[in-house]
Amino acid sequence: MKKVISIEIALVLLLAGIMFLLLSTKEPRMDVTVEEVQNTFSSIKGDIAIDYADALRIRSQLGINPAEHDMVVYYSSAVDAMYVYEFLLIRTDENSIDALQSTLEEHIATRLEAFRGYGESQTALLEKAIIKQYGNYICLIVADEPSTWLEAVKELLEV
Amino acid sequence: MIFSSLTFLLLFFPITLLLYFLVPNRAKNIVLLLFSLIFYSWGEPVYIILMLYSILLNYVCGLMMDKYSDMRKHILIFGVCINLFMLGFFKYAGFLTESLNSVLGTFGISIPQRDIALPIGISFYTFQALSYLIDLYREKFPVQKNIINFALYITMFPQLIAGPIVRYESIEKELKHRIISLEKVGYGSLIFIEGLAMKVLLANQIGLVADELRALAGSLSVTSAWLSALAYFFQIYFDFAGYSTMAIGLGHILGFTFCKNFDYPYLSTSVTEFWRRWHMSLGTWFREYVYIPLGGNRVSTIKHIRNILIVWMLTGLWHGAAWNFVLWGLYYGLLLLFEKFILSKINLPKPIGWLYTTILVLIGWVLFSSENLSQCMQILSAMFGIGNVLFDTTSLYYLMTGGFMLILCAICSTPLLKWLKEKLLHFALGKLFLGCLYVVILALCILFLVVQNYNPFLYFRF
Repeated sequence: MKKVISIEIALVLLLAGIMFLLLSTKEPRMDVTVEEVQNTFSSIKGDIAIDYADALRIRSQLGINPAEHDMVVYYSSAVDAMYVYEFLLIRTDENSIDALQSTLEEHIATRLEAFRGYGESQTALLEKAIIKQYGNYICLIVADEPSTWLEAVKELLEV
Repeated sequence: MIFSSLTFLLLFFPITLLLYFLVPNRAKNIVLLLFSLIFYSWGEPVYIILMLYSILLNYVCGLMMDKYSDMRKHILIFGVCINLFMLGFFKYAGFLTESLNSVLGTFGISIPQRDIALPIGISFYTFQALSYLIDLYREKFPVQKNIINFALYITMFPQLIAGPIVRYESIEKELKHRIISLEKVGYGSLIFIEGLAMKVLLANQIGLVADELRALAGSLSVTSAWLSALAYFFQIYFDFAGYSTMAIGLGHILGFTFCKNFDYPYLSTSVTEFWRRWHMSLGTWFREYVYIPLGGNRVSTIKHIRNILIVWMLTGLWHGAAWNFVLWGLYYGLLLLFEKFILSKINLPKPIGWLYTTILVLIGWVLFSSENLSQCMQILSAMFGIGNVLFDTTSLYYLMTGGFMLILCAICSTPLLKWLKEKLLHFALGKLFLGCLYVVILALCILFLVVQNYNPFLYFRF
C-alpha cells in the first residue's frame, strides 16, 4: 500500500515538473495582425528603402502564394534588384512550416549565388540573413543588424 | 511530419525501412521505437517529453496492477485520472478558461489565460494508453513487462498522430512476434499508395475548392454553398480515410495488422450506419470504455438516452475544444436518438435513407468545419436559400473548375474501384496493368507534392 502511494506521488510530482517545464517555454501569440507587424517594422527599419509588398510581388520574388497562409507580411525593394534588404513574417499551419523553411533557404541561396563574386556588400548582408521559426511563424530578415530586427519580432510575438 | 510529405516519403521512411529490415528480429522493435520518437519529435521537439511521461506512467501503472492485485482498482483510477488530466489540461484548459471568462466577464471577473499548444496526437495516444490500462484491469491480457514493446505500442509512428486507435489486445502478439514477408511489404505498399492518392490527389485538390468557397461564406449563392459543403464533405473523408489507409499500409509493411477505420461511410442509408462506417476505431473505443460501462442500452429508456448523449457529447469534444464540436456531437446524439426511437419504426426505402443521411452528414460537416457559429449560420442559410440567389457566376466557375473533382471523389467514395481492382487481379495482364498504375499514381502524388504547397491535414488538431 505504502509503496504504491509513494510511486503514485512520485509520478504526480514528475508530471508537475514536466508541466512546469513545458509551460515555461513560451508559445508565440497567435493573434498578431498585419497592422501590428507593419507598425513594428516601421519603428525599426530606419532609412532602408524597402516597402510593403503586395501578393503579386510576394509571388514573383519569393515564389510563395500568400493565399495559402494565414498571414504574410513582406517588405522588399520593388524596383532595385541590387537592394537585398528584406523582411518577411508568415503565420501558417504546422504542415507548411517545413516547406516554407526550405523555400526561404533556397531563396537566400539563389540570391547569394547571384551576387557572389561581384556584389560584395550584398553577399555580406545575405550571408548573415536570419530565417527563424517560432511556433507557427516563420521569419526572414536580411539587414545590417538582423538580430535587432529579430528582437523586435520576438517582442511582437511575445516569445 | 506527415506521411504525405516529401521528407517522409523520400527520406524518413526509406531510411527507417532500410534499417528495420537490416537489423535482426530482436532489434526491430528498438529501431521502430527510435524512429517513431524521431518522427514525433520532428514536429513536436518539446512535447515529446509529455509522450515519454505517458509511456512511463502507463507502464508503471500496468506493472503495479500486476504486482499489487488487491489495489488494482485504485491503481486503475489513478492511471485513468492522470491520463485524463493530461488530455484535459493540454487540450481543454484554454477552451474552459475562455468559456468561463465569457460568463464571468459580465461580472467584471477574468481568469488569466495563456495559449497552450496542443501536443500532436495526444488524443490518440492517450486513448490507446487508457484502453491498455482498462483492458489490463479487465484481465484481457497479461501485463507488458518489456518497456520497449510498451513504448512502441504508444508511439508507433504509422498510427501515432491520426490513428486508427489501436487497442493493445489487437497487436499484443505482433509486438512480440510478427511475420514480415515480401508479400506483406508489397500488399502494404499498395495500400499505402491508395491512401496517399486519397490524400494528395483527392483531398488536397477538392480542399482547394472547399477553402476558396469557404472564404466567400458571406456572399455565397445557394449552389455555391452546396458546392462548398460538398467539397468539404469529400475533403475530410479523403483526408482522414487517406491518412488511416496509409497507416494501415505502413503497418502491413512493418508486419502489423491495424484495424480498418473507414468502410465507405458515404454509402450509409442511416446516420447510425454512417457512424458504424466512419472512424470505426473511435466508435469502438467509446462503445467499449464509455457507453457499455455506463450501462449501454440495458438500462431504463431515460438512462439509455442519457448514455447516448454523454457518448456523443464526448465524441464531439474529442474532436476539438470548441463549442461547435460539442454541438456537432450533440447533433449526432439527437439524430441517433431520433433513428433509434422514431425512424426505426418506419421502413425507409434505401435511396431515401441514403439521401436523408447524406444531407444530414453534409449539414454536420458545416457545423464541424465552421470557425464560429456565425460562419456556420451563413453557410447553412445560404444552402437553404435564405436571402441568397440560386445561382451566380461564382457557382458557374466552381462547377466548371471543381465539377470533375467532385465527380471523381464521388466515384472514389464507393467500392467501384476496389471491385475493378479485384477483377483485374484475376488476370496476369491485369496484375501487370495494376502494378504500372500504382507506380504512375505514386509518381503523380510525388509530382503534386513537389509542385503544390497546399497540403493541409485536417485531423492534425485532434
